[in-house]
Amino acid sequence: MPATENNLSIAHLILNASFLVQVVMFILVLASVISWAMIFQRERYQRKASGAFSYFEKQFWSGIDLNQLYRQGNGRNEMVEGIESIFRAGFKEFTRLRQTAGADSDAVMEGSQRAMRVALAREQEKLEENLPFLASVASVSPYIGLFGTVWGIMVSFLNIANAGQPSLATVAPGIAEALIATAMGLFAAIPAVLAYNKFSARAENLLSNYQTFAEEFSAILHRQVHSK
Amino acid sequence: MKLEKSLSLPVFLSVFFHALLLVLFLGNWNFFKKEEEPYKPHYVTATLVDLKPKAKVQPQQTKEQVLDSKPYEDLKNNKKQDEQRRMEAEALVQKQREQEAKEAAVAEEQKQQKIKEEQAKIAKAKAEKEAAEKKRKAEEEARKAEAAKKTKREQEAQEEQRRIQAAQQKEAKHISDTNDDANTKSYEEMLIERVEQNWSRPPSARRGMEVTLEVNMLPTGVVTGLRIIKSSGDAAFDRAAEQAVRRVDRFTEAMQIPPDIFEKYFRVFRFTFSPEDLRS
Repeated sequence: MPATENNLSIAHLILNASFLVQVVMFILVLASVISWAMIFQRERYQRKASGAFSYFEKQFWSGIDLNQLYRQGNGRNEMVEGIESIFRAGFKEFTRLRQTAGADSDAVMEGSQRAMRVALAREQEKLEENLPFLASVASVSPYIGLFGTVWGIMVSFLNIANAGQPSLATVAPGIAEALIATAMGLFAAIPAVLAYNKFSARAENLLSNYQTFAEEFSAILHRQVHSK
Repeated sequence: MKLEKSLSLPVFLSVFFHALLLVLFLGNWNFFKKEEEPYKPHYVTATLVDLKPKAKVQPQQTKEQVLDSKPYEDLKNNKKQDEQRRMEAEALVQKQREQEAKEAAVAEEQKQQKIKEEQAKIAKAKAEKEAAEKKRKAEEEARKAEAAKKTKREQEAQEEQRRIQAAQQKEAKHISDTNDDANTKSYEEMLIERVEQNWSRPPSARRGMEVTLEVNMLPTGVVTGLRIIKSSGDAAFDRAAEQAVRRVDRFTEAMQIPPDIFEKYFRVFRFTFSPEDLRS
């Protein structure tokens, strides 16, 4: 008995599958590898972004002078990302417009708000990067797997018809081999669906936090403009 | 704050994860397999039609005969014949036993005689040895004689051992003959297995159904007669059971059964079919 079991191992089935089914399997494995890479990358990126957000917000509301906060960012030569970039874009525009003579307070406010909106849109793009790929893997890979399965079963039925003597032993390997494709499709799709839902929800959450911050910040700027 | 966006580590992690899965699935597929399922109970149980006039079995048989005596007419004849045959066999066995006992007694006698002779020989050898010692001149000759005797003695001992072994074998055979019950059980299982392989249970089978078939068999394993003794009440089930035996057609295993056991237990044989594994 163990001999036949070894003969029907998964590796054996995959290696003996028809070419098209093998191609389908390869595509699915590739999709799975890439989507997992994206899952890991997204996980790290979003975790860091939310960490940076809570750190910056604490700093912002600690009563620190806004000029000093801006200069802190200047001190670091690296590219500024996340919530800080929104703050910096708004504050930069605000100070610039105020330095130019003859700018009225409404124009200053509008300019800084626009700058923050642009920065927000850029941040949104960064947060939701790669998510479309996960979504398409989630929705398409079951179909690709199903295609491989249907093709494999079709081929095995043709073989049965040609053999003339159908028995379970002749039918079963072909169908098992074909079903591996579906299993792989599901294997690629399920994590992708879960990851897509998780990451898009988290990105949305972060974006709404950014938006709230931007509104609060513009309220502070507004107070500063009109207090004079 | 700089946010990590490089893809190299995630790609490495992902590839590592997939490689690990691949190794688990392909290399060690047995790891995921469950233990072999325990052997399911036999669907078919068979009862031996023991024609021995045992005190336990007797009342049951008479009851059956009373219940439906007509179909048992020919069976009775059969039984009578069988009984006669069996009696003869028993007489033969007894005779054999007696003979064996006699042989054993003779062997014992011979053995004792041999021992006596041996002792005498040893004594003689000793005397001779002493004489040789005294003489000293014929020392070498005496030694030679002793060596020759030694080999002779050894041969005798071997012979005796052989005889003992033969006796033991005889005894073992006798024991196996007398308790052929165990053997009968194993033959019975062989037959049951054959029938089981050919039995396809009908969908109408329910738990608690039971059909008993009586099979007449020749020593070559050919089924000559087949009757339903006790119907299950379900025609399809009865037919399926009958079909199962008919499909076997010839129990090739019956050829392995020793003639005396066959005559005793398997000339008329009963199968009881019951779908014990069914839940509903």
